[in-house]
Amino acid sequence: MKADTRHRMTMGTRVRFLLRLLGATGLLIALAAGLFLASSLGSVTVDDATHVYKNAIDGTAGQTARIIAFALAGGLALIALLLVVEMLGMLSSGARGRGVTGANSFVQIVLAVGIVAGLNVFAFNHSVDVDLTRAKQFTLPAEVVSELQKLKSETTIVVLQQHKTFGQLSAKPDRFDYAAERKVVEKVIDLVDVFRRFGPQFRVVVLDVEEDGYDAKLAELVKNYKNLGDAVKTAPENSIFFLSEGRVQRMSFNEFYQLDKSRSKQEGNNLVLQPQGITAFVRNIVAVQQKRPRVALAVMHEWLATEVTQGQEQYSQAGLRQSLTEYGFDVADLVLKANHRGEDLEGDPAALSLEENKLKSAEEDLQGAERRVTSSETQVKRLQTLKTRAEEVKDKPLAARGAVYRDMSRDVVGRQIAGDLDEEDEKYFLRLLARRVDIAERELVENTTQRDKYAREVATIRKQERAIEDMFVTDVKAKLTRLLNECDLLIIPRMTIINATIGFTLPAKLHDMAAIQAEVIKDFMKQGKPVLVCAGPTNEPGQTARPESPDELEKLLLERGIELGGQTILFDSESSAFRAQLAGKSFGGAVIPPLSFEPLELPPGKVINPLGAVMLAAMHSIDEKLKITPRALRPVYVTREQQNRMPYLAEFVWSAAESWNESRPFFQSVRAVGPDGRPVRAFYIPQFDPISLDDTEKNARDQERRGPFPVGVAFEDYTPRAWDGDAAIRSRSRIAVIGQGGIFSGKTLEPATERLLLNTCNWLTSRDDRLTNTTQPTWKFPRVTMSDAAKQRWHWGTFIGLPALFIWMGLVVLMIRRVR
Amino acid sequence: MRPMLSLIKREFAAYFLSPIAYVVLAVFLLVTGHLFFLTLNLLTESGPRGVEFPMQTMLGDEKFWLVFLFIPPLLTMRLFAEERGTGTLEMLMTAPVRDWQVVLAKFTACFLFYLVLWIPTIVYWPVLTDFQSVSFDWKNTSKSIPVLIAAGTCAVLFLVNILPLGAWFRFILLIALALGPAGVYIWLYDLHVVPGFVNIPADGKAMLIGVQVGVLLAAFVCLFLLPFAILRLTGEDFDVAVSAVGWLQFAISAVFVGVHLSRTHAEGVFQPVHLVTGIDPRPLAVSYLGVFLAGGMFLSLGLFISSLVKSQMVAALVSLICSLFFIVGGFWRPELDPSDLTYRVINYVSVPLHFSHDFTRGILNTSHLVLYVSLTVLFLFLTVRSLETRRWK
Repeated sequence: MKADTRHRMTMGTRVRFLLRLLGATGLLIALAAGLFLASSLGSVTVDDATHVYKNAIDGTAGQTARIIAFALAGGLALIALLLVVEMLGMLSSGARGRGVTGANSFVQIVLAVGIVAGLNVFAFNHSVDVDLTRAKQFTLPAEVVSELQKLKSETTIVVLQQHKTFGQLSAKPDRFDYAAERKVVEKVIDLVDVFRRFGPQFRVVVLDVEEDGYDAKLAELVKNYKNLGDAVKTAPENSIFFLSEGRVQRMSFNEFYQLDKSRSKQEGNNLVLQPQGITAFVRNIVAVQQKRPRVALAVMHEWLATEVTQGQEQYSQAGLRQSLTEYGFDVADLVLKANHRGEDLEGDPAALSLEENKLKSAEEDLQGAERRVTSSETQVKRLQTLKTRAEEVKDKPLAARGAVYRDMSRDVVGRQIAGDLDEEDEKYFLRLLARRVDIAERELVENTTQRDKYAREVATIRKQERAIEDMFVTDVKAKLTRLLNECDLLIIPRMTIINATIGFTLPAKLHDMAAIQAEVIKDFMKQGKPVLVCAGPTNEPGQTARPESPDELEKLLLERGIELGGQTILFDSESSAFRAQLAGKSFGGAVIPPLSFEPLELPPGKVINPLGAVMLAAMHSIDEKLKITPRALRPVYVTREQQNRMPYLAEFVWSAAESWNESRPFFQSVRAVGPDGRPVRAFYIPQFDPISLDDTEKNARDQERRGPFPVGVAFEDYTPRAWDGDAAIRSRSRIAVIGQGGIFSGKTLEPATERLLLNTCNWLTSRDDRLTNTTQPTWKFPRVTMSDAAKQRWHWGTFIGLPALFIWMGLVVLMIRRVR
Repeated sequence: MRPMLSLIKREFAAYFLSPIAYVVLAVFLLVTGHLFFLTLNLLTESGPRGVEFPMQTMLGDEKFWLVFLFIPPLLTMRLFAEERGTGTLEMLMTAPVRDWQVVLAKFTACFLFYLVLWIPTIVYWPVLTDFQSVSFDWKNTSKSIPVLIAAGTCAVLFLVNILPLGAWFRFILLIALALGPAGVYIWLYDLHVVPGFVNIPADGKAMLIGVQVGVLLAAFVCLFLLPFAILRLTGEDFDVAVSAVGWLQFAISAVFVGVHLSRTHAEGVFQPVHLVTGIDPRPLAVSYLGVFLAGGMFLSLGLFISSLVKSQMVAALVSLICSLFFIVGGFWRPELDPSDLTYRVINYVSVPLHFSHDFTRGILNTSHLVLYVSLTVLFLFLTVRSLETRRWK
């Protein structure tokens, strides 16, 4: 019987079988080796794979890895060999009769695959996203696109989740905060995905402090961006960092999407976010190099500046500097008074920059140290002389030695010794002398070390040209003008009453500004630059009359339509504290109700103050009052003419309703006459005394009445006509006044106070895009309203009903087929 | 054309005669029903949780794709493998029908069944879009009349193409449908019988009509006569050529209706349908488009595999493994930088990622469309070649 030719084993068949077997084995080996090497990959990139393979092949990764790398190469070589042989086989069969059709088909397939591959490569590199959403939420505004297209460098966006309260304004994060946090991370990633269509590469890294591997991830980033480490450490809340060319820029989650907790609760606990616009986000990318606005802090005493003086922390504005610096401002101190004297700390007008002030202080310290060194040297010399004299007489009789010791006794013992000395007295005297010499020498060393330290400090500061230059300028006006010209915002804190219940105050006179200084500030405003004045009440303990007439700064404010009240706002809780103090039950502590940013009623035709609206939005973001609780506020009013010019209410913050304005805000003892006609000790306790209806001061601005009182105004307007004379174009400038000088004082600021400071400074410097944008439509999860019963019907109907229907249909078809 | 229609009918009906179709339908609806329930929970949530794009929970979820992975192989495994196994493929190959017609018919049939799978999910739409009301507002204007004419033409063309008409009769009807509606439009436009149409001055009217008729005839020659002539000259049968130009004409009309509607809708000048929904319905529509196109790709892949093997089970398993290539990228989520090439390549081929990132959020990315359509065409082409191989082997 003829053998079946289909199963005949020719030489060619055997070779082909062998090659295919080898090819398959090679594939298996390559796969296994590839998997082994892939386990060493740090990341799945071509570069990393090449690196791992090179390390393996040259033996750096160990002998096993080397063998496996060779196995991989061998496996790939076998596959390549198989492919080449198969290709040759196809070509040779294509040349034969029946193979022509096959070859033709093969060529067609190769061409089709080539076309499809080419098409896909093109699509891969030139894909277009068509945004078909109704709100075009994945389409960037044209101006943003043009900005992004200008970017050439790579930008890494780091999303840092610290799980701190959204904006830190409320004490403890709740479910809304966490939900908002998650959504913002999502939104950032989405937005950067959209950005990738334009300009350079954008990268997003999400860092979660609670995630495993957080430190390693951060360290990897810090390798390329050294500033990031510090920025992450000091970041006060959940933040987004923009890293480009070694620079770091931060924005908080709130600046991208602000949680509106009030509305969230109103809308059935849905998450409601207030988008701040893409522009704000892009600004941070585009402006990683953006100039930081410079804030000048003009104070009357260096203790009130931003540098902390040990023991005087409560007066310093260190917290203000820290907050402003963290949020993109530079802060410079200006000290406007020097040579303070007397109880009122009055001094001479000055304009000292921080560097100059430091130099001045350092030089004063150096002088003091030098004096101390000279004094120590004299003392040491004197005691050494006494010691020498005592040694010279040691061989003389005791009586003679006693006479010498008696002569030296004032310097050694501190008093004149009378009478004879015995040997015990002598021993004591000599021990004391030796001790005195020792102490004097030690003091000399200490004083010399200190002097050298101050000398080095002075030398370092003297190297700064700026400090030296400033020292030679004696014209206060010129100097202040020059210093202010470099600044974009001026803050003038005038801390006065710190706690009225215990009479803790700074003298109001300390803050009196000289006319030339006020003149410079006027010029500053005329340039269109903004000013923030934090002016505390000027009432003083023991004062019964009204405070004196306003100083130069207050006059300037009056010209701009801002009147500062002459009284102190006290709260009902403070009145109780006064009584408790009198009864010996308390030291004057009182719970102060927080400030309010919501006007009682808007005047007709006016809208809410823009700064007030921003603060209200911050309040809504946590659904509770912002905990800003300053004591001893001063009413701040706006003249009627000024208010009429404004489209919005000039006032933006009010004291709580449980308050009154008091001309004598301090608890004090007074002389009174007892029932028997003899003088007795009595106490004046500040309390609300309603003015009688026939009083002449009735309806006056400073009439004693119940709160709430306006304690802050902010507006933008032209400078007064009188300032510009005949100038055709008057400049507009923004101004804000808050009736508390120490509202931003202290080593650190409370989150709510910090928010007030930042919002005020951002608004004043026209960084409106950093303020809460309430004009954008809010974002929230879509919701479908339905009853529980309807929901159950939908659930079971779709989950069980629909499949059951088709199973029934299948059964019916099966039964019909069986019947047939 | 008729044999092809018969084939489609036969294949399509075959699905409903086998229990596997109902099992697939039931399992598919169980899974989508469960995902719908999850979405419903998020949409009716009483806390600060929810879903911004409901289709993201439905189709962006891994569970969906794990189940979806099995559906195309189950639908396609029997298409050629069964014929091969039972030996009926030879009969089919000797029938007066071309290989591409066989492939296209089988693909169309299984694609139609795939569409049927999705039809019950229409039930979810009112919830997924928070449907509130729909109203119709039709006015005879210069914007609405052309749409009406084109839509009517489109409908008639569809009927002409699918009804078993004689080739010559169909040819004449197609010519009438190409010239008639355009003629009506010119008549309406020039005689401004409908408010809103341009009032043409009498002196320029003759010239304008001349230009319009010229453009119409040129379009007729280019889009109808020329393709028809090319097909005939390349050896195609008369009825095939007529069918081809018939469908081409239908496609042009449909595109015209779509473009005109979207333009007028965007401009706000013509909105015949006012759909009031609480949730944007467009991501839903885009998701369905994506599901159909991606389904086409997987089905064509399954069809190709089915044409290569005899066993249905092997066909299903191999196509399942091949489909994994387009699915697993979505499950494997390494810490990759999205701008990195590796991530971009994974993202390019990973269908679940296309859905979770783009389709379900209302974004139509051209690269996904190119991938789906090009691979569908390629696999169909390879299937035809695979069938042809049997002839010359």
